[in-house]
Amino acid sequence: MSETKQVELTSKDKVSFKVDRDVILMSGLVKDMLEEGDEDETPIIPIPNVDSKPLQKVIEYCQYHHKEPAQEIEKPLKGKIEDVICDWDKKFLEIDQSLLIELIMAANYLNIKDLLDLTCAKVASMIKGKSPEQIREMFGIENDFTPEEEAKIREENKWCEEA
Amino acid sequence: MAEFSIIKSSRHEENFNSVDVRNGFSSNQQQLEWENVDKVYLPPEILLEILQFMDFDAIVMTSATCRGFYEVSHDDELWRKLLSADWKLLKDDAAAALNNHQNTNQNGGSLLSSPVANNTNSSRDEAASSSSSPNSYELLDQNNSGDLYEKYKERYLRYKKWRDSIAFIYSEERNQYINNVETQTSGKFVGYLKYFLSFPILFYRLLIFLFISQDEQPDFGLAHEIEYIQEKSLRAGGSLLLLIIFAPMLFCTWMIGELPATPFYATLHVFFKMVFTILCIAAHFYNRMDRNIEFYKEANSVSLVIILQTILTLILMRYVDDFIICCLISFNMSTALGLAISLKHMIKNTESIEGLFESSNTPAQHYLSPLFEIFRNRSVVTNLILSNLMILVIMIGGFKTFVWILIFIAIAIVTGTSGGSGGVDSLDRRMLIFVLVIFACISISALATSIIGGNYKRKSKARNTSAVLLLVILTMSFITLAMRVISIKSGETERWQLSLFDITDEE
Repeated sequence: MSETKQVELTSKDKVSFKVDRDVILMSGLVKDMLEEGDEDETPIIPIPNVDSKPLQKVIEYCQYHHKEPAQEIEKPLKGKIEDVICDWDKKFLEIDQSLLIELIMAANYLNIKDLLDLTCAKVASMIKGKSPEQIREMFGIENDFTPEEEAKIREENKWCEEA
Repeated sequence: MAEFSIIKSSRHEENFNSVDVRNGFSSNQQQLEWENVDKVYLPPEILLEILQFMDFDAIVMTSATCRGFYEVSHDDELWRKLLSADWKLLKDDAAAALNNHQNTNQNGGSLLSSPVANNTNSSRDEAASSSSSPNSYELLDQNNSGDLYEKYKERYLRYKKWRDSIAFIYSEERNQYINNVETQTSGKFVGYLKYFLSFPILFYRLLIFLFISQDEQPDFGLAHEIEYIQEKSLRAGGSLLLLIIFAPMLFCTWMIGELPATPFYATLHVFFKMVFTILCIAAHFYNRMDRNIEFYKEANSVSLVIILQTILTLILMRYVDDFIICCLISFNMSTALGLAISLKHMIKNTESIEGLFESSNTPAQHYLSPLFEIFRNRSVVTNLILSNLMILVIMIGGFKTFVWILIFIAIAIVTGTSGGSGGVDSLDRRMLIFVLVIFACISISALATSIIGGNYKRKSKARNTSAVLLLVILTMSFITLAMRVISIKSGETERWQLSLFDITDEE
């Protein structure tokens, strides 16, 4: 093995990032691609589904966590997510909702399980204790139920109210 | 599969049912111009991934937001996890769940256990994943999945019903009465009246709580309810404490009314009893006993009431002169303190509250089976409450009773011989009873002292034994009292006379 090989990632909006090879190996997708690809000096890997902004966050995450593996987050989450993750992760998650969703997509696409867990848990934690309307508002989810369906669901979900 | 969409503009009211991404974009191009990437579709795997971190109520709430979440929210794997996390599965349930789990895995249920790995192999094209028609699924018509969701629901409802029926909830209602009384300037009297009328119901519910059988008692222990249960147990403890103050008070008042030496003194006694009762109530309100146990951590006021009551009882002994009644009163009064501290102590010292709710079937309990029949089919938490109650009664009650009995003996020795017609004979009998009671108190106190604190689960045998001992003693003292009443009423025995003040004005 030679010393720190680099990999070039190209985002959807054609911004390229140079990353250490063993950092980006955290991504299952990149790992698979590198394994089957030939041994270029700096292989260029296109990431056509991810914008530069989330991609940069992903790389940031990998750079920190390839040395210090993240602790597994329990399912279901008890209490707030802030109580179970490290300080770096807390800071890392101080982003707006849309970027968070993009991060989830990116983590899913790039196959980085720890990041996917972290971001999903964050979303779950944000949703906790909110009403459906509040959740929709927060994440801009469109209500695609018909009114009848919504009434039906509301009826069905009555059991867990006033828990 | 259904689509879940997230758009950045939450104010966007357009209702587009189209699941096709490109259609969605093109038809809403104008509204969405202000953002570059406006619409993100999360595939069901990710939605499920998010739901996996949630509690049942959050899942249910989220499922009502959109079709995508609704579709995945009935997933079996999700609810299996919640079932085992929130409830202690019953034995057969656990086995069934395990079988189920294995089957699911074999049938390609690995989607959930490794969603990411699965995703890598599957196509990631948004267009491809969104190719399914929005009309291809029937909402609210889930046949294959959702069994465990139903199971969870059923269990939760069972639990909720049970919880509603026990004292915890009731104590909350009662606190609302107090709040009402405090906030209202008018109608205070009605508030107080309602509050005091609630005691019999409370008593009944507490009894249900303590003696509920394991069949009726669901395997409760919702993960996030632990704090709730802790808090409510403390409150229930406070309420129980009050009951323990009141019940013997009323009992003794009644008993003494039943055997009046002279109507005047009997009336006087009842009057003083009422004063004590009022003092207790005052102490209760002062301390906010069943609202927050912290308030009477040191229980100074309660102690004061107890001391007052003791002094007054001592004085009254001259008139009513029944040792056993006096002992009982003191004993029961100190019980009150004991119980409160007990509950607090118990909850503090139990390493994991979940352990409380396991059923207890230690073989050690079987050797005294008739006695332990009460205990055997209860959960540990019931046993703990019962036995801790007993122990603290022994600890504090026993010790104090011991001291007071010593005082009584001293008085008896000083004044007893100059007493009424019973003379030396009855003094001897009294002495015998005293010695017996003292012996019992000392031994049990010693036992209790060694038991209290530390690991509650490990010492359960000793605790239960002492609890039974205490029960026996309590029962015996009540029987003695009752027999005294009977014999005095039938004229076989005369009342004991203690001439502390050397007043002999009785007929």
